Amino acid sequence: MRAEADPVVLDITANDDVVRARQLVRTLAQECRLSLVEQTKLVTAASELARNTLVHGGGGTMQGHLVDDRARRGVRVVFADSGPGIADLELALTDGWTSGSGLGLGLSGSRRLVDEFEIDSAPGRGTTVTVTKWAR
Amino acid sequence: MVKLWDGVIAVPLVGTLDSARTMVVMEKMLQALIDTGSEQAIIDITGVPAVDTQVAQHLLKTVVAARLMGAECSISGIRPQIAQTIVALGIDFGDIVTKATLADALRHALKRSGVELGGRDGRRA
Amino acid sequence: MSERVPILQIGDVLLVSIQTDLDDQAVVHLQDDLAARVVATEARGVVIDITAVEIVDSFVGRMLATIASISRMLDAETVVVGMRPAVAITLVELGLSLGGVRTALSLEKGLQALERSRGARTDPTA
Repeated sequence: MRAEADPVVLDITANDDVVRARQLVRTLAQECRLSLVEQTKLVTAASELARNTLVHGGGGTMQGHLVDDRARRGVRVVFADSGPGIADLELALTDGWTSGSGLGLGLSGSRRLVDEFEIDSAPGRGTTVTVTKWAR
Repeated sequence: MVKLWDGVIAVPLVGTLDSARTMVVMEKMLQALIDTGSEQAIIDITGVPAVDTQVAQHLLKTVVAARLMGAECSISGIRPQIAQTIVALGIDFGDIVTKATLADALRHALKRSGVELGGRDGRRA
Repeated sequence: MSERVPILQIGDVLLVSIQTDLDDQAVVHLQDDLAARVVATEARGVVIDITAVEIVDSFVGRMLATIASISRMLDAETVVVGMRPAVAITLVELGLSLGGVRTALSLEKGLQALERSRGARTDPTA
Protein backbone atom coordinates (compact mmCIF):
# COMPACT_ATOMS: atom_id res chain seq x y z
CA MET A 1 0.00 0.00 0.00
CA ARG A 2 1.52 3.31 -0.91
CA ALA A 3 0.38 6.72 0.26
CA GLU A 4 -0.39 9.03 -2.60
CA ALA A 5 0.90 12.57 -2.28
CA ASP A 6 1.88 14.18 0.96
CA PRO A 7 -0.43 13.83 3.93
CA VAL A 8 -2.54 16.80 4.90
CA VAL A 9 -1.74 17.76 8.49
CA LEU A 10 -3.95 19.85 10.74
CA ASP A 11 -3.45 20.95 14.32
CA ILE A 12 -6.66 20.62 16.30
CA THR A 13 -6.58 23.15 19.11
CA ALA A 14 -9.80 25.12 18.75
CA ASN A 15 -13.44 24.77 17.71
CA ASP A 16 -12.93 26.04 14.21
CA ASP A 17 -10.27 23.39 13.65
CA VAL A 18 -13.06 20.83 13.79
CA VAL A 19 -14.67 22.67 10.88
CA ARG A 20 -11.31 22.70 9.07
CA ALA A 21 -10.98 18.99 9.69
CA ARG A 22 -14.34 18.42 7.98
CA GLN A 23 -13.31 20.55 5.01
CA LEU A 24 -9.95 18.85 4.58
CA VAL A 25 -11.39 15.37 4.79
CA ARG A 26 -14.09 16.34 2.31
CA THR A 27 -11.46 17.52 -0.16
CA LEU A 28 -9.59 14.23 0.16
CA ALA A 29 -12.82 12.28 -0.22
CA GLN A 30 -13.67 14.16 -3.40
CA GLU A 31 -10.19 13.60 -4.84
CA CYS A 32 -10.70 9.94 -4.23
CA ARG A 33 -14.07 9.98 -5.98
CA LEU A 34 -15.97 8.61 -3.01
CA SER A 35 -19.73 8.65 -3.63
CA LEU A 36 -21.74 11.39 -1.95
CA VAL A 37 -23.01 9.05 0.76
CA GLU A 38 -19.50 7.69 1.39
CA GLN A 39 -18.14 11.23 1.59
CA THR A 40 -20.84 12.26 4.01
CA LYS A 41 -20.15 9.27 6.24
CA LEU A 42 -16.41 9.85 6.27
CA VAL A 43 -16.64 13.59 6.89
CA THR A 44 -19.17 13.00 9.67
CA ALA A 45 -16.84 10.46 11.29
CA ALA A 46 -13.97 12.93 10.96
CA SER A 47 -16.08 15.57 12.67
CA GLU A 48 -16.77 13.26 15.62
CA LEU A 49 -13.14 12.20 15.92
CA ALA A 50 -11.74 15.71 15.54
CA ARG A 51 -14.09 16.87 18.28
CA ASN A 52 -12.97 14.02 20.53
CA THR A 53 -9.37 14.99 19.94
CA LEU A 54 -10.16 18.55 20.99
CA VAL A 55 -12.58 18.00 23.83
CA HIS A 56 -11.34 14.77 25.37
CA GLY A 57 -7.78 14.74 24.17
CA GLY A 58 -7.04 18.34 25.06
CA GLY A 59 -6.02 19.05 21.49
CA GLY A 60 -3.97 17.08 19.00
CA THR A 61 -3.46 16.56 15.30
CA MET A 62 -5.18 15.12 12.26
CA GLN A 63 -3.35 13.65 9.31
CA GLY A 64 -5.13 12.62 6.16
CA HIS A 65 -3.96 11.09 2.93
CA LEU A 66 -5.08 9.10 -0.04
CA VAL A 67 -4.23 5.44 -0.02
CA ASP A 68 -3.94 2.95 -2.80
CA ASP A 69 -4.53 -0.77 -2.47
CA ARG A 70 -3.87 -2.09 -5.97
CA ALA A 71 -7.47 -2.27 -7.13
CA ARG A 72 -8.99 0.49 -5.07
CA ARG A 73 -8.35 3.98 -3.74
CA GLY A 74 -9.30 5.31 -0.39
CA VAL A 75 -8.80 7.95 2.27
CA ARG A 76 -7.01 7.32 5.53
CA VAL A 77 -7.21 9.78 8.42
CA VAL A 78 -5.33 9.60 11.71
CA PHE A 79 -6.36 11.52 14.82
CA ALA A 80 -3.79 11.70 17.58
CA ASP A 81 -3.65 13.37 20.95
CA SER A 82 -1.52 13.09 24.10
CA GLY A 83 -4.49 13.47 26.37
CA PRO A 84 -5.67 11.29 29.23
CA GLY A 85 -6.35 8.26 27.04
CA ILE A 86 -9.26 5.90 27.45
CA ALA A 87 -9.22 3.49 30.37
CA ASP A 88 -11.81 1.02 29.19
CA LEU A 89 -11.70 0.85 25.40
CA GLU A 90 -14.27 -1.89 25.12
CA LEU A 91 -16.77 0.15 27.09
CA ALA A 92 -16.02 3.28 25.09
CA LEU A 93 -16.72 1.42 21.87
CA THR A 94 -20.09 0.23 23.08
CA ASP A 95 -23.17 1.96 21.78
CA GLY A 96 -24.70 4.38 24.20
CA TRP A 97 -21.55 4.86 26.25
CA THR A 98 -20.99 8.45 27.30
CA SER A 99 -18.15 10.05 29.17
CA GLY A 100 -18.77 11.79 32.49
CA SER A 101 -19.45 15.14 30.87
CA GLY A 102 -22.49 13.65 29.17
CA LEU A 103 -21.03 13.91 25.72
CA GLY A 104 -20.71 10.63 23.90
CA LEU A 105 -17.30 9.87 22.51
CA GLY A 106 -18.94 9.10 19.20
CA LEU A 107 -16.49 6.26 18.76
CA SER A 108 -18.94 3.46 18.16
CA GLY A 109 -20.90 5.57 15.72
CA SER A 110 -17.80 6.65 13.83
CA ARG A 111 -16.68 3.07 13.56
CA ARG A 112 -19.84 2.19 11.66
CA LEU A 113 -19.30 5.04 9.23
CA VAL A 114 -15.92 3.88 7.99
CA ASP A 115 -14.51 0.69 6.49
CA GLU A 116 -11.48 0.32 8.74
CA PHE A 117 -11.17 1.59 12.28
CA GLU A 118 -8.20 1.24 14.60
CA ILE A 119 -7.80 2.76 18.01
CA ASP A 120 -4.78 2.80 20.25
CA SER A 121 -5.36 4.32 23.64
CA ALA A 122 -4.45 3.85 27.28
CA PRO A 123 -4.42 6.07 30.37
CA GLY A 124 -1.39 8.32 30.23
CA ARG A 125 -0.58 7.33 26.65
CA GLY A 126 -3.05 9.48 24.77
CA THR A 127 -5.25 8.29 21.94
CA THR A 128 -4.69 7.57 18.28
CA VAL A 129 -7.57 6.69 15.98
CA THR A 130 -6.99 5.64 12.37
CA VAL A 131 -9.91 5.36 9.97
CA THR A 132 -10.02 4.36 6.33
CA LYS A 133 -12.79 4.65 3.78
CA TRP A 134 -12.50 2.95 0.40
CA ALA A 135 -14.17 4.04 -2.81
CA ARG A 136 -16.47 1.31 -4.07
CA MET B 1 -39.33 4.32 -9.37
CA VAL B 2 -42.99 4.80 -10.13
CA LYS B 3 -45.32 7.56 -9.05
CA LEU B 4 -48.50 5.78 -7.96
CA TRP B 5 -50.42 8.80 -6.80
CA ASP B 6 -49.85 12.33 -5.64
CA GLY B 7 -47.32 12.02 -2.90
CA VAL B 8 -46.84 8.26 -3.24
CA ILE B 9 -43.96 6.61 -5.05
CA ALA B 10 -43.22 2.94 -5.40
CA VAL B 11 -39.93 1.16 -5.91
CA PRO B 12 -40.42 -2.32 -7.37
CA LEU B 13 -37.41 -4.47 -6.73
CA VAL B 14 -36.97 -7.55 -8.87
CA GLY B 15 -34.57 -10.45 -8.79
CA THR B 16 -31.81 -11.36 -6.41
CA LEU B 17 -30.69 -8.42 -4.38
CA ASP B 18 -27.16 -7.91 -3.27
CA SER B 19 -26.03 -5.44 -0.68
CA ALA B 20 -24.48 -2.98 -3.14
CA ARG B 21 -27.46 -2.87 -5.51
CA THR B 22 -29.92 -2.49 -2.67
CA MET B 23 -27.98 0.46 -1.28
CA VAL B 24 -27.93 2.24 -4.62
CA VAL B 25 -31.65 1.77 -5.19
CA MET B 26 -32.45 2.90 -1.69
CA GLU B 27 -30.37 6.07 -2.06
CA LYS B 28 -32.20 6.83 -5.30
CA MET B 29 -35.53 6.32 -3.60
CA LEU B 30 -34.72 8.77 -0.84
CA GLN B 31 -33.68 11.33 -3.45
CA ALA B 32 -36.88 10.65 -5.40
CA LEU B 33 -38.93 11.53 -2.32
CA ILE B 34 -37.40 14.99 -2.45
CA ASP B 35 -37.51 15.36 -6.24
CA THR B 36 -41.18 14.38 -6.48
CA GLY B 37 -42.23 15.95 -3.21
CA SER B 38 -43.71 12.63 -2.13
CA GLU B 39 -44.22 11.93 1.52
CA GLN B 40 -44.76 8.22 1.09
CA ALA B 41 -42.79 5.46 -0.55
CA ILE B 42 -43.55 1.79 -1.01
CA ILE B 43 -40.72 -0.67 -1.51
CA ASP B 44 -42.21 -3.64 -3.29
CA ILE B 45 -40.29 -6.89 -3.10
CA THR B 46 -42.87 -9.14 -4.75
CA GLY B 47 -40.27 -10.00 -7.38
CA VAL B 48 -37.55 -10.81 -4.89
CA PRO B 49 -37.18 -14.53 -4.11
CA ALA B 50 -35.00 -14.16 -1.03
CA VAL B 51 -33.19 -11.65 1.15
CA ASP B 52 -30.16 -12.05 3.34
CA THR B 53 -29.30 -10.24 6.56
CA GLN B 54 -27.53 -7.39 4.83
CA VAL B 55 -30.33 -6.67 2.41
CA ALA B 56 -32.92 -6.85 5.17
CA GLN B 57 -30.83 -4.43 7.24
CA HIS B 58 -30.53 -2.05 4.30
CA LEU B 59 -34.29 -2.07 3.77
CA LEU B 60 -34.80 -1.36 7.44
CA LYS B 61 -32.25 1.45 7.48
CA THR B 62 -33.81 2.98 4.40
CA VAL B 63 -37.23 3.09 6.05
CA VAL B 64 -35.72 4.75 9.11
CA ALA B 65 -33.84 7.21 6.91
CA ALA B 66 -37.04 8.11 5.05
CA ARG B 67 -38.72 8.75 8.36
CA LEU B 68 -35.86 10.94 9.51
CA MET B 69 -36.36 13.02 6.38
CA GLY B 70 -40.04 13.43 7.08
CA ALA B 71 -41.55 10.74 4.87
CA GLU B 72 -43.10 7.36 5.49
CA CYS B 73 -41.98 4.16 3.85
CA SER B 74 -43.70 0.78 3.80
CA ILE B 75 -42.66 -2.56 2.38
CA SER B 76 -44.97 -4.70 0.28
CA GLY B 77 -44.81 -8.09 -1.37
CA ILE B 78 -43.17 -9.93 1.48
CA ARG B 79 -43.45 -13.63 0.72
CA PRO B 80 -43.93 -16.09 3.57
CA GLN B 81 -40.40 -17.41 3.05
CA ILE B 82 -38.90 -13.93 3.33
CA ALA B 83 -40.98 -13.18 6.42
CA GLN B 84 -39.66 -16.39 7.97
CA THR B 85 -36.08 -15.50 7.06
CA ILE B 86 -36.35 -12.05 8.59
CA VAL B 87 -37.83 -13.38 11.81
CA ALA B 88 -35.25 -16.18 11.97
CA LEU B 89 -32.46 -13.64 11.50
CA GLY B 90 -33.79 -11.86 14.54
CA ILE B 91 -34.30 -8.62 12.66
CA ASP B 92 -36.95 -6.51 14.29
CA PHE B 93 -39.02 -4.53 11.83
CA GLY B 94 -40.60 -2.70 14.71
CA ASP B 95 -43.45 -0.49 13.65
CA ILE B 96 -42.53 -0.51 9.98
CA VAL B 97 -45.63 -1.10 7.92
CA THR B 98 -45.45 -4.22 5.79
CA LYS B 99 -48.15 -5.44 3.44
CA ALA B 100 -48.54 -8.63 1.45
CA THR B 101 -49.35 -6.86 -1.80
CA LEU B 102 -48.55 -3.59 -3.49
CA ALA B 103 -52.28 -2.91 -3.69
CA ASP B 104 -52.64 -3.20 0.08
CA ALA B 105 -49.68 -0.91 0.54
CA LEU B 106 -51.15 1.67 -1.82
CA ARG B 107 -54.50 1.53 -0.03
CA HIS B 108 -52.71 2.08 3.25
CA ALA B 109 -50.69 4.97 1.82
CA LEU B 110 -53.79 6.66 0.43
CA LYS B 111 -55.56 6.32 3.74
CA ARG B 112 -52.60 7.96 5.44
CA SER B 113 -52.85 10.80 2.94
CA GLY B 114 -56.49 11.23 3.79
CA VAL B 115 -57.73 10.05 0.41
CA GLU B 116 -61.09 8.33 0.38
CA LEU B 117 -61.84 5.90 -2.40
CA GLY B 118 -65.42 4.98 -3.19
CA GLY B 119 -65.84 1.57 -4.76
CA ARG B 120 -68.63 0.90 -7.25
CA ASP B 121 -70.19 -1.47 -4.80
CA GLY B 122 -69.84 1.08 -2.03
CA ARG B 123 -66.61 -0.33 -0.62
CA ARG B 124 -64.31 2.25 0.91
CA ALA B 125 -60.55 2.21 1.08
CA MET C 1 -14.91 34.31 15.84
CA SER C 2 -18.11 32.36 15.73
CA GLU C 3 -20.98 33.49 13.55
CA ARG C 4 -24.58 33.70 14.72
CA VAL C 5 -27.28 32.17 12.57
CA PRO C 6 -30.05 34.68 11.77
CA ILE C 7 -33.52 33.92 13.09
CA LEU C 8 -36.46 35.16 11.05
CA GLN C 9 -39.94 35.67 12.39
CA ILE C 10 -42.94 34.95 10.20
CA GLY C 11 -46.11 35.50 12.19
CA ASP C 12 -45.76 33.31 15.25
CA VAL C 13 -43.24 31.01 13.66
CA LEU C 14 -39.49 31.39 13.95
CA LEU C 15 -37.49 30.28 10.94
CA VAL C 16 -33.83 29.36 10.99
CA SER C 17 -32.01 28.46 7.82
CA ILE C 18 -28.57 26.97 8.36
CA GLN C 19 -26.46 27.88 5.37
CA THR C 20 -22.90 27.39 6.49
CA ASP C 21 -20.71 24.84 8.21
CA LEU C 22 -21.15 25.81 11.85
CA ASP C 23 -18.54 25.26 14.50
CA ASP C 24 -19.68 23.96 17.88
CA GLN C 25 -19.79 27.41 19.42
CA ALA C 26 -22.14 28.68 16.71
CA VAL C 27 -24.35 25.65 17.33
CA VAL C 28 -24.56 26.45 21.04
CA HIS C 29 -25.28 30.10 20.26
CA LEU C 30 -28.11 29.07 17.96
CA GLN C 31 -29.66 26.96 20.66
CA ASP C 32 -29.46 29.82 23.17
CA ASP C 33 -30.66 32.46 20.70
CA LEU C 34 -33.64 30.38 19.64
CA ALA C 35 -34.77 29.69 23.18
CA ALA C 36 -34.57 33.39 23.97
CA ARG C 37 -36.47 34.37 20.82
CA VAL C 38 -39.23 31.81 21.42
CA VAL C 39 -39.85 33.38 24.80
CA ALA C 40 -39.51 36.96 23.58
CA THR C 41 -41.86 36.50 20.63
CA GLU C 42 -44.18 33.90 22.20
CA ALA C 43 -43.64 31.90 19.06
CA ARG C 44 -45.80 28.82 18.57
CA GLY C 45 -43.56 27.17 16.01
CA VAL C 46 -39.90 26.79 15.13
CA VAL C 47 -38.73 25.67 11.71
CA ILE C 48 -35.11 24.71 11.25
CA ASP C 49 -34.20 24.44 7.59
CA ILE C 50 -31.24 22.15 6.98
CA THR C 51 -31.64 21.92 3.21
CA ALA C 52 -28.15 23.36 2.76
CA VAL C 53 -26.55 21.30 5.48
CA GLU C 54 -24.18 18.59 4.24
CA ILE C 55 -23.05 17.20 7.57
CA VAL C 56 -25.11 16.53 10.67
CA ASP C 57 -22.92 14.97 13.34
CA SER C 58 -23.85 14.02 16.90
CA PHE C 59 -23.31 17.58 18.16
CA VAL C 60 -25.67 19.15 15.65
CA GLY C 61 -28.07 16.24 16.02
CA ARG C 62 -28.24 16.73 19.76
CA MET C 63 -28.75 20.46 19.26
CA LEU C 64 -31.78 19.80 17.07
CA ALA C 65 -33.26 17.43 19.65
CA THR C 66 -32.52 19.88 22.47
CA ILE C 67 -34.10 22.81 20.64
CA ALA C 68 -37.21 20.71 20.08
CA SER C 69 -37.42 19.83 23.77
CA ILE C 70 -36.81 23.38 24.97
CA SER C 71 -39.29 24.80 22.49
CA ARG C 72 -41.94 22.31 23.53
CA MET C 73 -41.52 23.39 27.14
CA LEU C 74 -42.01 26.95 25.91
CA ASP C 75 -45.19 25.83 24.13
CA ALA C 76 -43.76 25.87 20.62
CA GLU C 77 -43.49 22.96 18.19
CA THR C 78 -40.33 22.40 16.21
CA VAL C 79 -39.97 20.98 12.71
CA VAL C 80 -36.68 20.24 11.01
CA VAL C 81 -36.98 20.44 7.24
CA GLY C 82 -34.95 19.61 4.17
CA MET C 83 -32.77 16.82 5.48
CA ARG C 84 -30.62 15.46 2.65
CA PRO C 85 -30.71 11.72 1.90
CA ALA C 86 -26.97 11.32 2.55
CA VAL C 87 -27.40 13.01 5.93
CA ALA C 88 -30.36 10.78 6.82
CA ILE C 89 -28.48 7.63 5.82
CA THR C 90 -25.47 8.72 7.89
CA LEU C 91 -27.59 9.55 10.93
CA VAL C 92 -29.14 6.08 10.80
CA GLU C 93 -25.69 4.51 10.63
CA LEU C 94 -24.48 6.74 13.48
CA GLY C 95 -27.42 5.53 15.50
CA LEU C 96 -28.66 9.06 16.15
CA SER C 97 -32.42 9.42 16.42
CA LEU C 98 -32.76 13.20 16.85
CA GLY C 99 -34.98 12.46 19.82
CA GLY C 100 -38.03 11.99 17.65
CA VAL C 101 -38.11 15.62 16.57
CA ARG C 102 -40.66 16.17 13.83
CA THR C 103 -39.29 16.47 10.31
CA ALA C 104 -40.65 17.41 6.91
CA LEU C 105 -39.32 17.20 3.38
CA SER C 106 -39.63 20.90 2.65
CA LEU C 107 -40.26 24.25 4.26
CA GLU C 108 -43.77 24.30 2.84
CA LYS C 109 -44.61 20.89 4.24
CA GLY C 110 -43.04 21.83 7.55
CA LEU C 111 -45.23 24.91 7.89
CA GLN C 112 -48.27 22.80 6.95
CA ALA C 113 -47.36 20.29 9.64
CA LEU C 114 -47.13 23.07 12.21
CA GLU C 115 -50.55 24.37 11.13
CA ARG C 116 -52.09 20.92 11.50
CA SER C 117 -50.63 20.31 14.91
CA ARG C 118 -51.67 23.78 16.01
CA GLY C 119 -55.19 23.05 14.84
CA ALA C 120 -55.22 19.82 16.78
CA ARG C 121 -53.96 21.48 19.90
CA THR C 122 -56.37 24.40 19.96
CA ASP C 123 -59.43 22.59 18.65
CA PRO C 124 -61.65 22.01 21.69
CA THR C 125 -63.54 19.28 19.86
CA ALA C 126 -60.38 17.33 19.05
